[in-house]
Amino acid sequence: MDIIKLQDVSYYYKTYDDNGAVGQAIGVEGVSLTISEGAFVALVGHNGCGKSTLAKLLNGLLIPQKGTVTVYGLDTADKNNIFEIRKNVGMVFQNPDNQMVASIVEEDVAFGPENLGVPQPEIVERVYSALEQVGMIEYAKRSPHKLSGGQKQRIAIAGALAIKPKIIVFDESTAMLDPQGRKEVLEVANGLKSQGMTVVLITHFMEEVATCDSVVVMSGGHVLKTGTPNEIFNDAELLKNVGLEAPRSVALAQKLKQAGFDVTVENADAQTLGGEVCLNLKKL
Amino acid sequence: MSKPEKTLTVPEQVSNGTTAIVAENLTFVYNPKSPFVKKALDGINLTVNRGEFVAIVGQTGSGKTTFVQHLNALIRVQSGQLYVLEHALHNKKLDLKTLRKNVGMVFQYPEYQLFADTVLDDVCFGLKNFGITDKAEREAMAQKAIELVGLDFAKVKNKSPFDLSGGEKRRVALAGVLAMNPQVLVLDEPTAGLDPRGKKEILSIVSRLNREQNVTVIMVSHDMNEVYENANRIVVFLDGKIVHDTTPRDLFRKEEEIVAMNLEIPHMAKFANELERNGYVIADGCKTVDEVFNAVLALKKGGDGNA
Amino acid sequence: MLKDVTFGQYYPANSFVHKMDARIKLLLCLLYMVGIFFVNSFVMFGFITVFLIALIGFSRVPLKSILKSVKGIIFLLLFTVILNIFFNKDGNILVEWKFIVITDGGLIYAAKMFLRLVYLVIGSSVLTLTTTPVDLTHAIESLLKPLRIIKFPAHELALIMSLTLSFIPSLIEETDRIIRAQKARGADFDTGGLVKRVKAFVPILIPLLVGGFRRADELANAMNSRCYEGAKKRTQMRVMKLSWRDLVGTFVSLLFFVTVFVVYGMKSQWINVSWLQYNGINWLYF
Repeated sequence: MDIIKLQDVSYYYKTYDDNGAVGQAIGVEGVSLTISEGAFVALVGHNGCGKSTLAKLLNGLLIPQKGTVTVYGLDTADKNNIFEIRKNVGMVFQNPDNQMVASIVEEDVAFGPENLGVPQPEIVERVYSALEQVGMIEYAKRSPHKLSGGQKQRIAIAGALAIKPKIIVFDESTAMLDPQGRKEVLEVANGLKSQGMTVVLITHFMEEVATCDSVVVMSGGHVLKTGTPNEIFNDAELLKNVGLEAPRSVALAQKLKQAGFDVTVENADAQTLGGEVCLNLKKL
Repeated sequence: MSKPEKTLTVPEQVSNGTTAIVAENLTFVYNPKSPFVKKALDGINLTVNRGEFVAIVGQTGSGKTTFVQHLNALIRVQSGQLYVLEHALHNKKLDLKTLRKNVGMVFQYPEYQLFADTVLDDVCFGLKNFGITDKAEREAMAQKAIELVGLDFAKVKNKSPFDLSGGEKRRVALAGVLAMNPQVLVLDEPTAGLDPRGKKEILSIVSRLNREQNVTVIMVSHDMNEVYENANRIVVFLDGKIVHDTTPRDLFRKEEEIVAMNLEIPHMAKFANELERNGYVIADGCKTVDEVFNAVLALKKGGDGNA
Repeated sequence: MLKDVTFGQYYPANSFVHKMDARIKLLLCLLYMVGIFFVNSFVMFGFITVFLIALIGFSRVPLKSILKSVKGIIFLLLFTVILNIFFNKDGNILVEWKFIVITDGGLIYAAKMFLRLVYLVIGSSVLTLTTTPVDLTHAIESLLKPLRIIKFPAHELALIMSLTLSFIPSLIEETDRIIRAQKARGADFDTGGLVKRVKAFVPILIPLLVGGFRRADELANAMNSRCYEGAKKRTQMRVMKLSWRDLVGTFVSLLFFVTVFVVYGMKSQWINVSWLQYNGINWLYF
């Protein structure tokens, strides 16, 4: 079932030049996209390609100037729907420090359910089950600012989960993290997907999209291509044009395959690839 | 912590100008004599020759940022000795201006330090501080730096730095440091948060400076793939100590140790290691996808020839 | 380093006073602050001293931490004392030299003012040392809630305080980083005249401001995404419950305060206390 539908969506930002003249810059333009229930979708593109604008259109933080965005059939342009939409679409942003509303972990996670007017005993239940899902339960009473980047971001995820959304959007949530933190966040994202949640992952690290169901490539506010990770990785021309890169092991596998080696390109792991190449070499 | 100032004999390699950095038994403790005491550096010994491209890696909190901030005296030496170029940083008396002019420091997310009305003014900020009083001279130096980072001088000079894209902002911030023509360039995660294209641009600027102008580069990074391809030496920090100091290729041959430190093994190193285990040798200099690919092709050719 | 500065003065411990409800502590503290102005004899100051010693004992906060906060108002103290010594002309003249006149009344008044200010700071620092800023925020919100009837934004005020608390550590870190970055570009914050020094802060302030707006924008998005719609139908996770400690603490404190007010009342002759006369002097009033 398609739970998010974008139909010919455009959003433009206002710009002001030095003379005070008002202009327009493309956020996204003419985007049509559907996301089906339980899918793990990656939105990729270089910085400024419109992927974050698209994310903000998904829960009504931005309202399309042309076209419509619907979540479970509810139009984000209708103000009366916004609350219901945001209850269904949780969002995690880039900078973990800028998402914290309280200086104690459990109180931060409680912010969402408190806003929804959830009765107190249930808030506690939700907060602790959300913290459990991200593996941060032992930090419930701590102050978030002394935690690592990955841990802070997991708190932010718990904050979104406590609203019990059906869809969770990661808006470049790994961009500022070190490899360790990135791994932590991705593990949580994959865990949520396996529990049946719909996950939208926005990133420019192609390594992260390898486990996705589908990848949407954006550039200049337009969707250029949608496909499985392998279809996207194999389109070297497209990747080069939009300033992205397939993981190095995949890129090497592709080159070797083209040069006549018998190797697996799909999800190529460097070590496995090495083994395959050795077999090829031994046969000579 | 502090010890009496002694007249120390300057190591010969410092006085004859072959080294960029000599650290001897450098130790640093945060919050000494308090319940929050934390040893950030623990007996660091490191010599870097001029013209090297050294990467510093290690987990968050391993002491690498503390170490690099010593290099232009943003953190002063508590104990041990540290020479950067000809400056003795462990001496109380120190010509900070000259030191900081010669040792450029690029922080994490350097675009967050931009402040001036125009790109040109921002790049000139350092030059002004370091005593270049002639405006024309300043602007000429700034122009060189802005062009060096690959921006169109005429187009950006009068723009507000806040109107640029993320990657451009970072390059302006980099230009603000490069304008001083530093002999040593210290970068703390210069590519963090950038997309692949932005990363490549920054790294190619830094590599070019290192190659063509013999600038000594010290780069802290978490991205093992980029470190592997760019540095000619890698120093690994763990709990305030240096635990490895070797070439990229040799470092990542020690797969188990690297994984145990929670660091990643670059794809191309992993690949080359697997080939080596099977008796095929890929030259140590082959580190990018293209280089490795060509090396494999050469192996195949060689195989054909032998058969 | 700036980032090592701990915000607030909370001293973590598990004492009787720590465990008391923040609202009760806040109310008692307010009462104490009012009460201290009704103390105007050295005997009563002695009485309050007993109270403070007991309070500090039960809070298990080291005296050093408490005296630290007194150090913070040292200039105010000096200023008050000097002002009272030289300009209060009550009572008998002790010293008279040129235009300087010191009277015994002035000295006594200065001493009492000194004690009052010191005790004020000690009392309120016990509150901040035993209560986390977060608890204080909740207490303020809860106590101000009734004012919502007159449209007083109790929730908004508490939210602003809470957001401030959670942003201070990262703002301090960012300030620290910007200062270092500009220093690395040769900025000099320590020399030159006033104008030059003020100017030197521009390269710090502007990035901080720009960063502040960016943060505020991201925070607004994050709050909206988490269904924030103001105070309307909001519930709260934290329940504040009164325990036997609050009853005991309140009872004991009230005993002290009532005594203070009664003594004040006697002095103002609202209450007849002729039976306390000794040698014609009422010792309570000294």
